[in-house]
Amino acid sequence: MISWLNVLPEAILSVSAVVLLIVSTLAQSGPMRDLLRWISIFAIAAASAALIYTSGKFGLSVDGWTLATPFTTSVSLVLLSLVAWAVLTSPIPDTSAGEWFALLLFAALGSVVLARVGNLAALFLGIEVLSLTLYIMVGFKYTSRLSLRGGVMYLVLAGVGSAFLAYGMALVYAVYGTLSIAELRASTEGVTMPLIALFGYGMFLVGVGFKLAAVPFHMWAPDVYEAAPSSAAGLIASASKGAAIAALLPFSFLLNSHFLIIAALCAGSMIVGNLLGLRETRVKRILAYSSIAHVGYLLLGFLTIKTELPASLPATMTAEGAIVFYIFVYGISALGAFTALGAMRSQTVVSLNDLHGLGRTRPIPAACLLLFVISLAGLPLSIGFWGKLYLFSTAFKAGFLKLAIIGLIGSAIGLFYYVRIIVHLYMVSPEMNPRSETEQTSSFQNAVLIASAAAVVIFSIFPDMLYFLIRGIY
Amino acid sequence: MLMLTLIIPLAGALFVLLAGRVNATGARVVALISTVLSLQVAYLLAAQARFAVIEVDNLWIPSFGVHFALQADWIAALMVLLTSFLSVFAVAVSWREITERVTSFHVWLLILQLGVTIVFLARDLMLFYLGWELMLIPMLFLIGSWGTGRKEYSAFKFVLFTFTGSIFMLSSMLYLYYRHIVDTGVASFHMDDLLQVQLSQGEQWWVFLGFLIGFGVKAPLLPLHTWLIDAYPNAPTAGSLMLSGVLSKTGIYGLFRIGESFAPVGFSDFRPLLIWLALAGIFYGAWIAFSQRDIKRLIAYASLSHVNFILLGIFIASDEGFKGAILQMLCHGISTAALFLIAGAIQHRISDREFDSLGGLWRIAPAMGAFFLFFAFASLGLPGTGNFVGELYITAAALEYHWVIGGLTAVAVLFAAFYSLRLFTAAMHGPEPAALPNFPDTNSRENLLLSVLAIMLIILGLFPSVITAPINTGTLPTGIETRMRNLSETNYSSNHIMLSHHSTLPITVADAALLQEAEQ
Repeated sequence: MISWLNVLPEAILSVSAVVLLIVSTLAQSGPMRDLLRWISIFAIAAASAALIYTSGKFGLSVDGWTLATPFTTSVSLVLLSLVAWAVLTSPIPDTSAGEWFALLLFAALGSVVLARVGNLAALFLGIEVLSLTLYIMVGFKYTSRLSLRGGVMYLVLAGVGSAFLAYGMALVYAVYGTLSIAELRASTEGVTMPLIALFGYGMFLVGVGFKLAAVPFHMWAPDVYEAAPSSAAGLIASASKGAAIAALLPFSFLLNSHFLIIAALCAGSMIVGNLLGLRETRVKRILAYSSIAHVGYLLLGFLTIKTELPASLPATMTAEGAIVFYIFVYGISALGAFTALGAMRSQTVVSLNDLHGLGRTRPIPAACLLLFVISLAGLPLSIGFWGKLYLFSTAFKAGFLKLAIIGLIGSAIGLFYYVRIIVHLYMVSPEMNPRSETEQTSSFQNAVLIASAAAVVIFSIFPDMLYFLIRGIY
Repeated sequence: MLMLTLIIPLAGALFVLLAGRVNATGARVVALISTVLSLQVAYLLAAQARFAVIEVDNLWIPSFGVHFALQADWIAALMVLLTSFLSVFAVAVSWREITERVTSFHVWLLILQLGVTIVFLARDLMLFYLGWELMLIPMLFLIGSWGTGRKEYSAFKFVLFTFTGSIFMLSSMLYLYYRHIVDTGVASFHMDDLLQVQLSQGEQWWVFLGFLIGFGVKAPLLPLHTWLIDAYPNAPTAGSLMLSGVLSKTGIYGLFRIGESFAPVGFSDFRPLLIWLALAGIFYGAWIAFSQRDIKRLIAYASLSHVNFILLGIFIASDEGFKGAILQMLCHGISTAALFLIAGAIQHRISDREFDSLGGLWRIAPAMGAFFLFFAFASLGLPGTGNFVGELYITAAALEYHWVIGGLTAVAVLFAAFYSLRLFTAAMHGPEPAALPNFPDTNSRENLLLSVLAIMLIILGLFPSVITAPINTGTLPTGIETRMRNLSETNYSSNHIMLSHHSTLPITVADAALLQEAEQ
């Protein structure tokens, strides 16, 4: 029997997004706009509660479309928390605040659909909902040419990715006659894949590669990140990538047939992403290259999955655990870095020279940016270190020594541009700063920034506690 | 006691943050109090560790097998003592030198001390690595924000070199971790567990190579030294003092505590090469030092030369070599700190470090001249100072190892005389340059600091057995771990303080009192 309660989280998110759109036409004044933020937070909280409530309770799925296991619940909660963070910190746009928050809720919807995906069609649906939302968010400042260009560029390139994805799925469907991932998994066991299915899955991986901005499908990332408003860029880097990786997790059976392709995507992203960042002088583009490299690390985790997916996250760190942990860790660091940057410099193009002296004139956001960048670099006393270590050590445990060492070398290269941000932020005196205008941030935004920067440090001392929180008890 | 060595710098950093809100002097005072307290604790720790190995062991991150395990044996305790000793000086020399962003300077300094202390005490490889990386960001800020000259570039280079090296080190650690899981099915980073892993010769080569690169950068071993030439001279005085006095020791310490222990075969197979590398480092450092025109750069190269002297003692791996190396680690830390202190004082007075603008200081500033003379000669091995004893040990060990190596080592000692004399004469003798304006002699604070350092060197020179006697080893080592373990099994019972019957140490009244205190 189908229990429709299983799609309660998705239902809550979509309904409240629509409600928000309606409310926003009525409320455009200042205090009401803040109310919209709290409505969105409330919607996300309700969806999270629904997720926990439905987890594994009403059978696994609705016709195999969504999987409501404790594992997928954990992943969804992680993604929802990232979106909630973006809701909390994103500056409210001057006009159309309602649309902005509605878009964020739609992004949350897409992420949850992807995290609980059980069916190829659901996967396509989730990716499209998420991407469509992000196109609009990137081009949200439609009066700015750069922003508009970024939005269109993202639309075109992600459209190409979707085309690959749809084509691949169609080929797979043609061979196996089913869209259910569980049945697809079963039908590959112990059998060599027919050529058309191999090709179809290959196309599918190319499509996912586009969404992830894995090398060699990464070209769009720097331009889009730079054009987007800070919180949209942060969301593309964190929740969107996390959701795409989460959607990839049920396809671990592809590791038998398409290992080399995935390994190439992984190694390429880890090396090329870090190398490309070296010569870049614009901060958002640097963060974009950093996100490409981080996709490589996440794929390294994906490569080490060998068995059936777990029903729930185990107590000790496995490859799946390391991936979910890393999605959160990387997500919060990337979102935090983009937000802290946006809090200090509101213009679209931020070069390293624009950071000069901010360590002194804007100490709080600068210190937060410092911590988030340290976390992205994976230096100790930040959770980024543990995230990376978990991934690399699972790779070592699984015997992927070469890939793990490539990843380690990649992160050594990457340190170069992270340190460059720190040096420009703190060590060049402000007299040399050409532009010294200061943006104001709300004290609330500052408080969220400080709290999460502190969490980055505190959880680095108790990484198991964070893992326990992510693992949950349902 | 063990935990206090970590808690005090951490708490100190927090209190400095608070005190810094009041005024800059408050931050300085709190930092000074914190470092002095650390020194006191480190002294008590050393007094205990001389007779027993002190341990703390808690499971910290169960899912990953990381233990919060600390262990202080005699050598570790000595290194912690050196660290906290020099930290006091680092705060003291910055009293007048650092006038901008005083609070954050001292916070970084204390975090640096914390990182170094963790490195020396860690009994868990992951904890060690954490401490190792914890030194990185404070040093980046100390050099980059408060340095001189091309400070950002120097800071950058330092961080990149160290971090790249530490990636290799981490690879070796993860490999050991992975092998331990394969062998036993248990995930653990505890050194005692990982020491059980039996590696083949080939594996040991790779593992040792990883450690060698990681630690060699910090020491620095010859081809990995290029960051030093920028970082040492351009750091603020406290930074160069910590870099040369303490951070270089972490590299040496890691080499024998971890590199040699976990890959003894790798170590002994690489030994001949390493000995030549260390010798090359001695001569290279001395040679380049001789041709420098900048005081701090000269001291930096001289320090490179001396550190390689210590490494030579480690690589020869005989008892004498090891004892000499440990002694020399302490003495080098002290004498280089003193030299950088004087160089910093000169620079602070005339904002210049070039020899051309110096000269004749002996007449203008006799006290500074006297100290300069003493420390320049101490660092080349003046009899009566600890450096002399250390060099004697190492040279003897080298002679015992092979006459060619020994001969070259003896020549190297001679080389040190050249640049030391040059350093001294260029600054102190000769005509005063006309441009030299008002140049005050050392003030009472500097006099006090330098006298303490001088006295320490002389004490170490007169009573070296205080340091070396507890390093009381029997057989020729393949790994220091085994040596230290034999030591702890025969003479000590761990975790419990017991006076040994075999101990040849003279136990002073003060020691006995301390022991009683510790037992309570």
